[in-house]
Amino acid sequence: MNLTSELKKRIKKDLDPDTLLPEELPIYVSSFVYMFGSLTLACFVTLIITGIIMVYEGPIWYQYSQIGFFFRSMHFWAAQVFFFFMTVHFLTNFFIAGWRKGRIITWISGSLLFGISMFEAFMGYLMGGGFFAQWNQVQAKDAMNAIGATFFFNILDNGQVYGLHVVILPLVLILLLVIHLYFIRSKNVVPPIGYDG
Amino acid sequence: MMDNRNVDTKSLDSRSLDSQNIGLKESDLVKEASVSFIAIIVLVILLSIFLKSPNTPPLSVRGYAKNHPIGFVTTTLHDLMGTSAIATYGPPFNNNGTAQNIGPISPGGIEGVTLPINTKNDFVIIPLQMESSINPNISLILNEYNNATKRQQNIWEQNTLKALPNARYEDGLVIFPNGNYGPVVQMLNELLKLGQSGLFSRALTRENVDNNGVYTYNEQNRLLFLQGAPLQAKAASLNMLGGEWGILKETGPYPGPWWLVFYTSLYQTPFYANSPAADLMAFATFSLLIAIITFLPLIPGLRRIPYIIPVYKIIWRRFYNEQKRSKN
Repeated sequence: MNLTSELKKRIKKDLDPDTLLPEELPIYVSSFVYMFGSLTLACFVTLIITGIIMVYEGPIWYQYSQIGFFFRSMHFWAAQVFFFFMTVHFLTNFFIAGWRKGRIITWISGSLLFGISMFEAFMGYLMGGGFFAQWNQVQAKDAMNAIGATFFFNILDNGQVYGLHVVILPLVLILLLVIHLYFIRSKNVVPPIGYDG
Repeated sequence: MMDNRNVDTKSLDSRSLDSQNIGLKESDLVKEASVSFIAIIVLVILLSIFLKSPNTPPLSVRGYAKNHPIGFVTTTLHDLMGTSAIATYGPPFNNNGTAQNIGPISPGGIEGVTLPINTKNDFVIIPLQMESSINPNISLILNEYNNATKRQQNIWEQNTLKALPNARYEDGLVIFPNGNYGPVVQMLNELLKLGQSGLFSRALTRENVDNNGVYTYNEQNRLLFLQGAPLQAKAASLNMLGGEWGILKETGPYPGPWWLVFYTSLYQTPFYANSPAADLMAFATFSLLIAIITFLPLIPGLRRIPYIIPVYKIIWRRFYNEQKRSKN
């Protein structure tokens, strides 16, 4: 077996533009619930863009300058809206049993995105610079200490919190998102219950 | 835009759809994504303009020393005596307490002391030694304290602790009634001055031999110095204590991380709240929930819930109605 040929075949089959970007979808994809996934994705892109600008300019800029504080506010609200749409997206996919017909990896990657996003967002809250950040950083250390996480992670070390929030966890989320989107497109949208074929 | 053509693209689960004559409709995913992005940007900009974002300043060591001098002196006295919350915490800071455990399972205990803290030295003696390079008089009181026996030190500290309720703040000093305090009261007042100057914060997160003077972002000691009464008092005034769903509450009229509602709700139940292993139990429960959600499609019973609570009939009502009409 020629592995290179196999890989080429696989790429041609799985990354075909007709598969990834179809111009036609089944007629049942007309409910408003299908919007929540793309709205969640739009929030994620907004968080990445505002986050990169904030990282580049630094904490003093986004805490004390007017324009910096505006970007901080955008990042804050984008996170709130992100979780709102992601929660609705998750619930609707649960109630349509979105894992049917070979879509288990789509479900698992989505659930991991949800869980890791919670931790990522909490790290963001700890970087807010206000009393909430200070109070919850001290409170959260008890859970981290109890599970023995201090071996590799000290939540009171802002260097580690910063690194997790702006580099490590976003990279994990982007990887999971690529997997999630790939399986959504390659498996297409789950058919209505009763029309599984 | 619906044209009900039969499915023949390989991108769809064509065999199953074909066999049931489910049609296709035109779609523009790029347009949909662009519209979603613009809508979100506009929404976020409007929220940012009209509502801004939370901005309640943290409790600073300097602010606490200025506004609560007796509280500051009390905190430093307990750190000196080794009776503060951190001094008696246990792993990972020291061995003066026990790590949380569920039966024989104690990850923190197995891990041991990974972030060693000696509050007497780290929060009191070393900052005073640093200050003594500016004010040599401090060396005299430090020497008197360090040269005393443990028993003598303990007598001075206990006398100071007993006299604290009668102490008063006057002209930048905490004045104690006459008594045998040795150098302890002077040490506490020197630390108070250091605190009020703003230099104590940096004395806590100082360069040290462990990091070879390399500057870091580690705020551990500054945060832990304020742990306990100083932060508790401010959190209580903002109704942000753990028993008040504190983790979900941002300061001001802003939403906190409401998506952690299940995790926080555990701390509101007596079973968790009254347990000495509350954090370990809550974390384990939450992790179990995430695992159940993640692998839900593989769990018999739970994966049938969508069929038992038929919300899907509302979501696809238009499709089902159309199918019914076309059959009739």
